[in-house]
Amino acid sequence: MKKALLKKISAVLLAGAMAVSAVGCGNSGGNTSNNNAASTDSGTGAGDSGSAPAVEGKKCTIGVAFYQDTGLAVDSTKAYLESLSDTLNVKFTYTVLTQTDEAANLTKIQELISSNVDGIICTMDLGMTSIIQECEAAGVYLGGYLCDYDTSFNTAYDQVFKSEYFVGTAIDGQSPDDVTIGNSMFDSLIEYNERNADAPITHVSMAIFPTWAFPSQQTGADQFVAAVEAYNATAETPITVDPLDEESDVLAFAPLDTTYFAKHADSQAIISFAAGSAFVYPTMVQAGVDSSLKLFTTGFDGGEEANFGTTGNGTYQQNMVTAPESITYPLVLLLNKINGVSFPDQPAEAERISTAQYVINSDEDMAKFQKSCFYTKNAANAMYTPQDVLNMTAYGNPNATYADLKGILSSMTIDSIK
Amino acid sequence: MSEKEKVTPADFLKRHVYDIAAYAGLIVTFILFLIFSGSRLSYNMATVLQAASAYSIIALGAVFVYSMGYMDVSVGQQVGVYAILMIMITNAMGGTAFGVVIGFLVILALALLCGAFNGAVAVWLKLPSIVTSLFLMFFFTGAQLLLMESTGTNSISIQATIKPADRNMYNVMLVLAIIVVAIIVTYFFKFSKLGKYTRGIGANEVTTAQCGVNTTKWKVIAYMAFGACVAVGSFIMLTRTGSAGKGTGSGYAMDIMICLILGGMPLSGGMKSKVSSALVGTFTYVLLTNDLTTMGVDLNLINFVKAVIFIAIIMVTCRKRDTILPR
Amino acid sequence: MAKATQHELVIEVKNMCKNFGPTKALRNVDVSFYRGEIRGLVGENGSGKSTITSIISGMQKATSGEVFYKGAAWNPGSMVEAQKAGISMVLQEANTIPNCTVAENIFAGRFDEFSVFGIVNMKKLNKAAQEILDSFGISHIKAEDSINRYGFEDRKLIEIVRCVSDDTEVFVVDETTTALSMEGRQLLYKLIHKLKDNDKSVIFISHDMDEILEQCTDLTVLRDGEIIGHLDRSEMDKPNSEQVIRYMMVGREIGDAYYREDYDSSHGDKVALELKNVSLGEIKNFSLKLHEGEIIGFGGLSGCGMHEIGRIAFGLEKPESGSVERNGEKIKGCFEAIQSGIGYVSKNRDTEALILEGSIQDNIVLPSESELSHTTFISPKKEKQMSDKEIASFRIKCGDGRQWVNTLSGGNKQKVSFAKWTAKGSDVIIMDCPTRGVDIGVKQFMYGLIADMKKQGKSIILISEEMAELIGMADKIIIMKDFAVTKEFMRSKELSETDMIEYMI
Repeated sequence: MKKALLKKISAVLLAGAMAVSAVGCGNSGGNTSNNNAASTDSGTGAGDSGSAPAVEGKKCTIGVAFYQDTGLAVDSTKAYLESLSDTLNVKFTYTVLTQTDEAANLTKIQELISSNVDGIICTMDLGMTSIIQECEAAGVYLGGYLCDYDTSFNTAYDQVFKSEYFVGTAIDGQSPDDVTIGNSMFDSLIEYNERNADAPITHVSMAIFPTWAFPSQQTGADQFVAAVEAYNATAETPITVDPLDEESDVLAFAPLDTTYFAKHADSQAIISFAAGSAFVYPTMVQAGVDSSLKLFTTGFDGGEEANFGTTGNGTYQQNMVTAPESITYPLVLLLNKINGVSFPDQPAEAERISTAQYVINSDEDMAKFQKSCFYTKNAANAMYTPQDVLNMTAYGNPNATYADLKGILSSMTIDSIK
Repeated sequence: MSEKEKVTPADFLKRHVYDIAAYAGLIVTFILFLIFSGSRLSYNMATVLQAASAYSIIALGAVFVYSMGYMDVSVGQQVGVYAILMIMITNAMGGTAFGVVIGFLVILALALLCGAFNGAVAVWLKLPSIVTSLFLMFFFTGAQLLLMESTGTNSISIQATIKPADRNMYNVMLVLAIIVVAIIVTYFFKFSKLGKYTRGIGANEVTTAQCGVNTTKWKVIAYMAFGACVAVGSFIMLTRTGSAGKGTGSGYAMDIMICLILGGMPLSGGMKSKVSSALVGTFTYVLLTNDLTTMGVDLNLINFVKAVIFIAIIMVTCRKRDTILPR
Repeated sequence: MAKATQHELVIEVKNMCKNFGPTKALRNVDVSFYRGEIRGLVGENGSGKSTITSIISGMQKATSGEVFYKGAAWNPGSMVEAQKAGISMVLQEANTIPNCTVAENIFAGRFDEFSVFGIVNMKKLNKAAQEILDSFGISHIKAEDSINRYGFEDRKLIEIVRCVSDDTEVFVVDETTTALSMEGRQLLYKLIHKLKDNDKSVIFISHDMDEILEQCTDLTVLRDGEIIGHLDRSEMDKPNSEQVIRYMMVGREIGDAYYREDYDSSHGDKVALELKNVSLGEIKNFSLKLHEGEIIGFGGLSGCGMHEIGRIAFGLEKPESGSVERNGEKIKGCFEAIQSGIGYVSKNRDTEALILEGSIQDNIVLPSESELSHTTFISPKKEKQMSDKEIASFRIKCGDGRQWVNTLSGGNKQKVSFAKWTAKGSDVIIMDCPTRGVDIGVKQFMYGLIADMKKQGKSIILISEEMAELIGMADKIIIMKDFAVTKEFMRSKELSETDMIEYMI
């Protein structure tokens, strides 16, 4: 009896010790940086040193709340941010939000605030009014990334976009105000047909995520159809587009259903505005159509290159992704706020800005893409050095402007990869 | 006749191993909380309070169900639907205070109905209660999706003010809500037939029935009491963000179960069930998550550490029956 | 240890103590067991008999002290380990695995012997099991049948078969015989004598004094966790041995006032409980009138239907036709039964009558919560008063009302099971085997209580497998066989067990 008890007690102690030690490792870094923050704070007095070029910013912490905790996009973004850490004097901490639960997200943001962050980059628009209230109460700034903040934009514009603690958001090429994705898709299709003049694609079908989540995808699909119709008016070989089918073509964040292929029996290619690598391609493989059907899709999860263009089965003929460097937008705006400065041409209210996209259309594009920071997860390949980023801030460069920042954001195309 | 012998420390430990493990967990997480919150201690306290408020109220209600040795997996989806319904009703009535009251009464009635269903159907069909709650879970998952589809958005917001503008006022309101629910639950669990009978049912249902207890009736009442707490908890959760959507409440059922186990509630229910388990467990759980985040522990590690602690608690508290099966 | 013997020592217990919380079950016990003997262990409930054997056979560990088995220190981790080393025990409680076949039960944990590459040869298994069953002379049990088909008694026999093998050195029988019929008992007796003759050691625990005196070669008496004395065969054969042993067990003179002394079988005129033409399953058109102040006894073999009558009378089983009435109102379920003042002491004490994992107080007050509750409030003080009153009047041996029932001895558990209904103030009490597995001291107490109840005008149905008890206590005895009444006896000095037996078999 005694022995059993002893065992039990030691089990508790062990678990406790594990928890404490696991926690200890993670912490030691955090504490020291906090101490440094305090010392540099008083030393530099960052706010009033706006005119000196290449000045060091205030030491600060920025929390990044991602939509998932793994994947190429997240990993490369983290690598990029970490590379900026020393030069910008920023420590980054990360958390993951839920896709669906407002209260859970609020708790995550509160926990970030508790861990002493000065700014937050948030990839989800859920429970945002209460989150902004928390930020206002705690004096923490918040910027968006890869998210259109459409719910807030339409239902809580005053509380969110007009708040002085919200700095704006960078959207992955699909701002509902400025949809270009339909045209991009059409351009890619025509580029393919020009390259394969002997066997052009003349019949396509589409796939989108539901409108409640991504309203811009429906708009993009409409834009694509319109572009095809305009093209057909003059083209020798017109292209047929199957209209969107509510049942099979709208993916409620579940993989494509196999009935899709029966419904679109004549289709030669799928134009997927929804993330095709995760939601369309697996079903194609399962149904054995991955060598006969082509796929044009947003997103790149890694591994697509094996069946891209003329490689492998040649399923993928186009991938479209956002450069991780575009997180620079909310980051620079947050740093400006934290350092108490702003651009001379800073708009009065926060904006949502479309970023340019990497549109990978050909084998050459893919070769180029494979050297990018996104693909290599190596910040040495990033389009901007830490010094470049510092120069984008209002305190790092007195000549920096908001227009410049927006310009940079729209220049992140496949051709600008180093 | 009765010789009172001195209780040795080892005996004491053995008898109170549940409580000791549970309170030790709370104390350890609280100390870590004090250390790592640093300068934002008071803000962080509010964070913990807010995160724990809905959990603790629902967990308090769940004590009645868990003390019978039953569990409920539908609570998360119920919370989601109740929050959405409450928003829809309030908004439909123009966002008035009256609308809020009506909205709450509707979800309260619905929660009581679901409680009655959970208890009664399980008895009538002689199904394990987890099966009926699974049914409810699927039902509410569908209802939640349908309701949200009808709005055409991912998340809807309430158009009434249900949260005091002043943060401190809000925190006081939450503390009061937890205290009031805790007092009511404690009263019914410790000093009324409801608690005595649910514990009896958990410890030995046959005996309890043979003592003249209408177990069907009391099971239904216990589930309804739980339902009432779910309704209040849903409202409290709603006050935090003022909005709800497709995934609101998902994962609550598991979280509640983990909270209760961390608090020392035996999964088999019975006489050792205690109200304090709900509060101790909820705050341990919330503090633990908070500690790990404020310490900057890697996200993947957080889940690992949680799993280790959870398994350790289970190992310590689970009762080992004597192996009396020869050969 | 004044035991002169030429037999070889097999188990030696030295200075053993065992505490259950504040309760000391064993206090510095020294005892030795030898080959070629059937050692009886007797003592009141809670005297420590079962505690000794359960420690020897690996069910639990001693708090302190040592055990030596075949000369070496013995400290088994489990019953399985003990059994592998040759110490087997059959328990009081049922211990077979439900929903399996008889053969699977017999060879549970030994499937390796019958399997090739993990596939069990069921044919071979069944054949081997049947051979064992036949060798024990219980061929009516078929190896391939599901165990669920057999009653409690047959299951007990299957357990015995499972326990005893060629390797068995020490065989412990812990109050197993109460569950067995005459036939089963004879089988067991034959078995233990065979083991004795083969120079094995048998430890035999029983409350049945006749059985002990007939079967055992030696006797050890315990009281309050201490060894009081040993008797050898010659001392057991002395004419007053039973009195001596009882005195040793209880520590005081039991006297003759054991059963009711009066032969006054009068009772009130008012009918307290009536069964009108009740039919359920094989019971057809059973009728009964129980009057105030009357004790009606039911006797018969265990499958005769008398237990079912008790359950019907308490509303636990719903009759297919006919009705149970009290004060002119129909009893539809046990809820109504209890409301109208009926109490029921189940024969399945540990599974039905008591919440083992609950305190004495929890158990005693449970039926009375409705009375204690005032506008939902139940005063803990009143609960404690009620339970303390019963603990005192029943002299339940415990620390206080918060002690858990599973830490109590059998007799004290039974007292708690009674106390529920006295606390509630029930006027009709249905007792199913109220003294099963209960020692003499507690039995005497219970008989006194039943007699008092009669005097207070309370009505009692006493269902018992012990004929002496029925003769000693009941005003009227109803004998049942095959679900029907075969004979009614009125209380009389002349009534003997043999009179009754012929109507049972």
